[in-house]
Amino acid sequence: MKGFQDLIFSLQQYWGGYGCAVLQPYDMEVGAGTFSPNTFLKALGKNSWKAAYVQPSRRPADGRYGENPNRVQKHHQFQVVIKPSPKDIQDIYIKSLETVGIDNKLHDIRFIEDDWESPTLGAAGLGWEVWCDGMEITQFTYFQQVGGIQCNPITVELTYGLERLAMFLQSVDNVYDLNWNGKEGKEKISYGDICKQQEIEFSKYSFEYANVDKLKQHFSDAENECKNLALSGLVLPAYDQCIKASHLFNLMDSRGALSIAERVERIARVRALAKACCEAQIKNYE
Amino acid sequence: MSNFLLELLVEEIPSRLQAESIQELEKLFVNEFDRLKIPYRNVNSFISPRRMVFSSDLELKSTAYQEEKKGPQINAPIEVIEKFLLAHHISRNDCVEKTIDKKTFLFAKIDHNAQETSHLLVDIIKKAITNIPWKKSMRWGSYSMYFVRPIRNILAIFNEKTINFCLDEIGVKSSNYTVGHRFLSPEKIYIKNLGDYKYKIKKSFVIIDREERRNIIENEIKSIEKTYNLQIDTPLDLMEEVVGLSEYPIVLMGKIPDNFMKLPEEVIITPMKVHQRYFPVRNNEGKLAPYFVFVTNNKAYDNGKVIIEGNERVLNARLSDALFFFETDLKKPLEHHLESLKKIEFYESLGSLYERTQRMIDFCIFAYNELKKSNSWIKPEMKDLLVRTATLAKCDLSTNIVSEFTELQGIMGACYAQIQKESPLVCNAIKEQYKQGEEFSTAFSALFSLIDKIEIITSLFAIGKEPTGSKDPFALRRAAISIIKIIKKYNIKIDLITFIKQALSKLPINNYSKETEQRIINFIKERLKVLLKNENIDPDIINSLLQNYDNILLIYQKAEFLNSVLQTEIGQRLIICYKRAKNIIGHNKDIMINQLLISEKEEISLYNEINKLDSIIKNIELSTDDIKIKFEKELNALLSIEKFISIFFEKILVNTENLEIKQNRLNLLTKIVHLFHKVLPIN
Repeated sequence: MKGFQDLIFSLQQYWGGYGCAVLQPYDMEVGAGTFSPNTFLKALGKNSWKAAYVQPSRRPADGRYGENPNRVQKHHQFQVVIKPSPKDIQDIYIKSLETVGIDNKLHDIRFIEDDWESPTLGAAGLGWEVWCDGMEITQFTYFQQVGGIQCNPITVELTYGLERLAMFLQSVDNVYDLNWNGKEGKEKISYGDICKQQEIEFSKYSFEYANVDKLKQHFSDAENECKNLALSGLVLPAYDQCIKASHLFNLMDSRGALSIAERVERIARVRALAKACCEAQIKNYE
Repeated sequence: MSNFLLELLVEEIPSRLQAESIQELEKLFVNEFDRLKIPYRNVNSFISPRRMVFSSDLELKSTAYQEEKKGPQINAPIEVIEKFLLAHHISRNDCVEKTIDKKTFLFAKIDHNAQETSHLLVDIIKKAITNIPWKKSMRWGSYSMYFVRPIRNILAIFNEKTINFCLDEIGVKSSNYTVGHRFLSPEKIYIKNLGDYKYKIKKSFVIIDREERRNIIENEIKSIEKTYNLQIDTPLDLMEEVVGLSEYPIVLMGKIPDNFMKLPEEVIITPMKVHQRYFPVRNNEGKLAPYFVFVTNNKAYDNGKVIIEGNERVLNARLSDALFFFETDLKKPLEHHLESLKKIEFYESLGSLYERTQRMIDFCIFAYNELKKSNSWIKPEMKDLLVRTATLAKCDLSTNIVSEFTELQGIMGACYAQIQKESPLVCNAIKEQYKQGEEFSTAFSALFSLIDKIEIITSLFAIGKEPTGSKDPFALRRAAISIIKIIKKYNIKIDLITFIKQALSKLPINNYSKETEQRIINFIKERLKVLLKNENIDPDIINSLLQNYDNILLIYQKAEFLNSVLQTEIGQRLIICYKRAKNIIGHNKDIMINQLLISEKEEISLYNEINKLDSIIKNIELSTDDIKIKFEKELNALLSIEKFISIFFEKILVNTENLEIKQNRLNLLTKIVHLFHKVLPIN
């Protein structure tokens, strides 16, 4: 696996071959692949679903001005969702690791208990972090609840942390040294070439420059829009506004603009939006 | 008997749930065998991350037996009786009548024939699988059943034949095969019985027995220790967890680059243990050595070279994070973090940690002023030290390291305080603030922790977060026990009520109920009661002391001293005297003694002794502030009068014909009882 992009290609190839619809990233700022409607809303209802996609994921508070070798405010997840969860999903997953070059006769792959919960999404699941030689490379979750609603059937979600996995495969200790395009010498394009500037500038933005009053205003706007749209049964547009509110909340948080009480209160407000969207979605299914 | 074997192949079962769940499964089977009268022996159960195994030898048939089932009363409505008969497929003639508590009931005699064990087993297995009580369980696929993780195969064999059934709730059909280790032997293995299973599963790289896995790990660790002349820390809980994380444990050792070894020990150890499940390594002097030991689940063909490199890289990344955090934290003095505490919630309506810090600073000054009055070891310089400790105590909660590893709270605070050259007393007190029990490195640490705990208990009670039943999320019971133990061990004279009142008055809330103070005192006294009971102190003494006093130290000291005195012969006699006097005086309250009415020799000497005792007790009262010494003196004085009371009872008749003399004698005894009550809190 020479380049970061090759890792993505082979995962897309593999899961596409398995029968997943290989989607493009959702075109909004999300905190994780789970936020994409292609996971979150699809986990509701009876319909089967198989999809795989890369999701650039933003966590403003993780910004380190491009100085930390392991932490970035925007990282890439490779997300696989399958509903209902197939009975041989662990084996299928392990084969995907072989495809990207992890020889399981040479490495130590383990499933370590890790239950997942998202207070902003009102979602919870049980599963593991998958370790390869002590490094967490995937979050493996059976969704139990989404937007406060019990899932049935159950969706399984596999989230590969692409930076970590690539660092592991390329034996690189600094994320910015990752080879992106797989070429060597002059033709090589590194992760740093592509992402370092955004790490520096967005760290400044989310810790120093973001206009808090504007963020709060946008938050309220998104909130109102979401509620109205959900009432009109326009689930996807409503949910976009929920995603927006969640990201605005993250920015306010990283900006250090929230008192304790306000933080708790805003999380509850985003959760209420997520719930409204889920309920509207269920109504649509009926 | 024939062998029964069941193996559930499950996706990785959380380690912490393994030991308990397999016991539950075993219990469920054994209970059913008993209930259905299937003779059994050689019960075995095993658990690994992917397997739950149960086996026992069973008779081919269950034992026939007759069951008596209680039915309705004989005079019950006919429909009720018919329903009962119908339910058990019997007629009225199959029933007997029995009278219980004057009511006559029908009892059905139900014959249970011997049944084929192989037929019974299907239901037994299904019931056992579905009834394991999991702390946390889940659904998967399109199925409705809950289990800890998805079950992927059921191996079920009796008498070398497959027990055929389908567990429809999860869509799994039973079989006579399983698979070996996930990577080392993933092929199907066909099984005949337990012996066959044990042999083949081991050959397939699965150590099915938890204890055997533990032994393997422990032995490999010992051999590493010997080879490299090192010592490996194997805390029990970490070992327990690791035993449940691998089906084929192999122990490996990795190296830590030297530049990380300058970090405080805890900062190196915590990510190793908590995040990576690695065992720390020490040299023979007990100093942390630049290695780590870990358990893998795979026998790699390069003998683990790649696995070691990978794990080293992960730990390096974590330690460079830690080093970065550590160095960033050191860039500003600890008290500069106070500002960030405004953003960290203490608890609900109790405000931020910053506000709580301010309250603690005030409370420490209050505590100092109160305690110095009666505790001579509290020196003037302690005031500033207490304030300094309170100021810095929570600052580490907003440092980078503690944000990353919350379990290092206190420890990092002390470490940073030490680096910025705070007084060692302050550093230790920061480190030990969360400590329970009474073992502190200095009395000053204990004192600070005591003040902190009183404030916490008071705050949480004020917002109604006191422990109920088995729920004690803030470990307030332990905190209360610690308060008592500190007071006792360091001999701290403290009036808790004043402290609680003071703490309450400074809270940002005022809607707490009026009885809060008393509820807190009672809560602490409840713990004290348990502690005293554990010291084998007479329950009567405990109760009366708890009823009469709020002062923990006094109660403790009186209880222990009293208990020791009352176990002596003279102590016992003293109690007898008291009881006799108390019985005779009845409701008499008068203690005016007319000297002229005293005539008998024994009466006179008792009267003199009483007067002496009265003034001795008054003098003791003024002589010392030390309640313990005071109490010992009082009790000794009381003991000295015992022989005079005994002689009085022997020689003098209280109930004489002369009513005046009788009353005077009663008053004399009442006076004695009064003196008793001054010293001893008995009823």
